Parts: sequence; structure tokens; C-alpha cells
Amino acid sequence: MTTNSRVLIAVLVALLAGCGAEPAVKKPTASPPAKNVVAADSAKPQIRVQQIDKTGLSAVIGHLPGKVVLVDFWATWCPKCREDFPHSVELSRKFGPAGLVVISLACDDAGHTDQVLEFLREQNATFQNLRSAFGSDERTFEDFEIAGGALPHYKLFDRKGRLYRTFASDPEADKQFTLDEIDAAIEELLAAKPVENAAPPAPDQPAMPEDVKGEG
Amino acid sequence: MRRLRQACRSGIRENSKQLEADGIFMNSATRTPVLTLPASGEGGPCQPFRDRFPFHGMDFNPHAFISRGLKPALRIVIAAVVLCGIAGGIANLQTADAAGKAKFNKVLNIGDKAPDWTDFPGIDGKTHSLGEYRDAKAIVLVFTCNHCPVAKQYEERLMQFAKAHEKRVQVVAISVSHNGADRLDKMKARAAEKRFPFPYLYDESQKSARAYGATVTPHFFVLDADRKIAYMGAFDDNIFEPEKVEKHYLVDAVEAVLAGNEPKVKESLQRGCAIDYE
Repeated sequence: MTTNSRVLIAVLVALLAGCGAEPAVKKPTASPPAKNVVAADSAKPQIRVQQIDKTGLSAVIGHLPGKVVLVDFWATWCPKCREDFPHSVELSRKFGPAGLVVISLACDDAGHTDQVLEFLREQNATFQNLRSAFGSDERTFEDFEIAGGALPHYKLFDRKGRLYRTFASDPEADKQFTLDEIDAAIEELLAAKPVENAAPPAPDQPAMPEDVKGEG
Repeated sequence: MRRLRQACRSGIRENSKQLEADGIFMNSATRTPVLTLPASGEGGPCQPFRDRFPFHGMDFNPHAFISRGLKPALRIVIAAVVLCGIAGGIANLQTADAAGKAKFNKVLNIGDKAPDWTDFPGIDGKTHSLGEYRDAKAIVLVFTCNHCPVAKQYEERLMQFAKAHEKRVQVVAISVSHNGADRLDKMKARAAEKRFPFPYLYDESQKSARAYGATVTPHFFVLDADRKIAYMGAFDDNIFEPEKVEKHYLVDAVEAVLAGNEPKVKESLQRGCAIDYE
């Protein structure tokens, strides 16, 4: 492993751990940094879950210039989230080549990480999988601005990393949002001309998620 | 006087030396500490760390920065500032703002008249209306359903609460779910199985939940003696580990209402399964 990626991982872990107010969030101490990342066994496909907070998520999205990013906020305890999850996997497969990046973010307690991993493996969720550092606590829903504390919830970011649409439970809406609406919004963003000044998707830039995986 | 001044100055100087040693520099004109950091070197982690910061177009992360490199005195200063911010945030977090506008509810505000509802079929085969519970000093209204695991987590807690307060508080559960597992016959089965000590009603129109701005199951509302909204949000602060609950939002709010007071915390962020409005 290069010095650069070692430093990068140390910084990432510091970023993840340093942001959490809860004592449960480990600090980057003596152990190798990547040990703090909850990792799957060497089972195929390699699917991992990283603990993250709001700052960390902004960092992840900020590191994907030129990409349209869909964040699927879900939880093992949310039946509709589980039901709709295959759609996110399908979106990643279908629109990935055109510039969509799907990220899953579980609002599950640390004690439920095994169930989260089990589900993600079942779903073959080979994209980046995150778990909120604050689990199913109200802090998760406040920090990530999950309206009404309701799951499922999706946030869609444009190629410049700006929040474009939120798909949330809304007692004032005629109906609950549909998966078709998410598809349509993604297609809108992908069809739009890449904004000037936005860095084009650059394959030579190391992507942070892959670097983290490389450690395990 | 001069000696005093000198003593003060030397005190400030010594103090400033100490502060400088701790990475805080004194403004020579005002003798106030300046939060400037050494640009480089062993004791100045800021600049090198920034250089190592690998993410493009992103803000420098102050949390990681604090945890990694700062000298103790500066850490304390920043921690104090951060703590003040957090305390302010918490104070602001669970209450409606100054204008009384709810933070987490798009439809209702604290103090609003509870929206009325009538003739909902219940698990007892009869129909029920909000108006029939006029003897209750407080009403706990919960939008819930059978199938949501979070709603299930709160069944026991709600039953215990209802039994403990049965003389003065009326608990009413309403489902507006169109999910197959939540139909009225399934509701009857669940209530019988768990022996719900409260009415469990079905509002197929979903109008009641919309009128209360309910977003999830379970979503709780406390109505005071005047049937105004005294509290809304979550039952407590820990869904899956009842033994680790620290904030008993609903119980505290009801106790306050029964004592003729306003609840200290009037709103919290409910969490659960999204209500599927159709």
C-alpha cells in the first residue's frame, strides 16, 4: 500500500471518528485504521459497511465530481425500504455507465450491523454502503435531514454535488412518491449537459471508496 | 499603581508566553488571544494536515483537525465554542421555535386545536369519535399499524403506559394503512393477541393522519384537557433498546399536562415507517 493511500485512510477514519459525539465512535488509535471499518469476510462479492455521519457523507459526495448521486436511506427495520432496495441495485446497474452513483445509507444501530451486511449481500449491493454513526437515533434523522423521520427516503444530487430532489414522506402530498419519479429525476439529471466548471468524470483520480476497500 | 500595572503586564506577558507555547498567539495591541496557528513545523499540524487532506473541493474537516493535532489550550477553547454551539442546538432542537412553528411537523403546531375525527370503525366492532373521550384529562393519540417493526417495538411500552394511566388518560390508536397486513380484520387479530387495553381504530380515508401531519408509524400526539396539541413526536429516544431510554418524551409530556403544566419538551422527531399516503 502506498503512503498516500495510507494517509488517505487515516484521514478518512479520523474524519469519521472525529465527528461523532458518541463515545461508541472509535478514535483512530494504535490499531490499523481500516480495522475501524466494519468489513465483510472475504466472501464474494466484497460488500462492506462504513460508519458515517453528515460530514462524512458530504465528503463522499464531494469526492464524486461529475457524477449524479442517489443516496438510498434505508433500515433493516423498514419493510418498504427492503422491498424497494432491489430498485436501487437495478438503478446502479442500469445508469452507472451513464454517470449515476448509488450509495446506500442504513439508519440501523451498530448492534444490527450483521443484519445490514446480510441484507446487502443478499441484494448483491456492490456499491458503496454506509451506516449512520447514530443508528436509528433521532440524531441520524436530524443530521441527514430525513423529513418527518420517515423511511424510505432518497436524496438525489446533481453532477456538481448539489441536492436536486428529496423523496420523502409528506402528509401534504397527494400521494407518496414513486420509484418511477426517482427514475425520471435521475434521467433528467443524466440527460442535462454537464455543467461548466464541473470536473469531468476522471478515471485517473483515485476514488475514496475504492481506496477504503483496498485496505481490507 | 505603576507597580500594579507592571505586575499586570508581566502577568499578561507570562500568560501570553504560556498561551503562545500552547499555540495561541496574543494580539500585541489588545493583548487578547488570537486563534492563529503556526503555519508549519512540529507544533503546527494545521498546514501540513491541510496539505495532506485528500478530498477535492471540500472543506477542511474541523472535527478531525481538533482530534488530531491541536495543543491542549486551544483544544479547550474550541471545545468550549463547540459545546456552546451544541447546547444551543439542543435547546433549539426539541421545541417549536419562537413563533410557535413546529420543527418536525408540516401541518400542526403546538397549541393548535386537535383536528376532530368521527365514526372510525374499531376492533370492538363499534365506531368511535374523538368527542366521546370528554372525561379524559389528556388523550394520547398514536398513528400506528400492524406491520411496521418500529410500531411493534412500541406496543408493549404503550400498553404499559395505558394501564398505568387508565383513570385519567385515554390512549387511542389509529391505523390509516392500506397495507394488506393492516386491514381491520388483521388489526382485530393483533389487538386480541396482544390484548390492547385501548381502542384501535381504522381510518381508511387517511384524512386524520393528514390532518395531524403524521409521517410515520408510530407517531404520537398528546392532547391536553382543552384538546390542544401539547406534545407531538416520538414516544422516547430509543426504539430498539427500551432499557437504554434516556428521554421519556411522551410520559414526561403527559405527566406535565396532568399537573396542569406545559411539557418541557413539546416536540421531538418521530422515527419509523413512512405512512404510505394514497
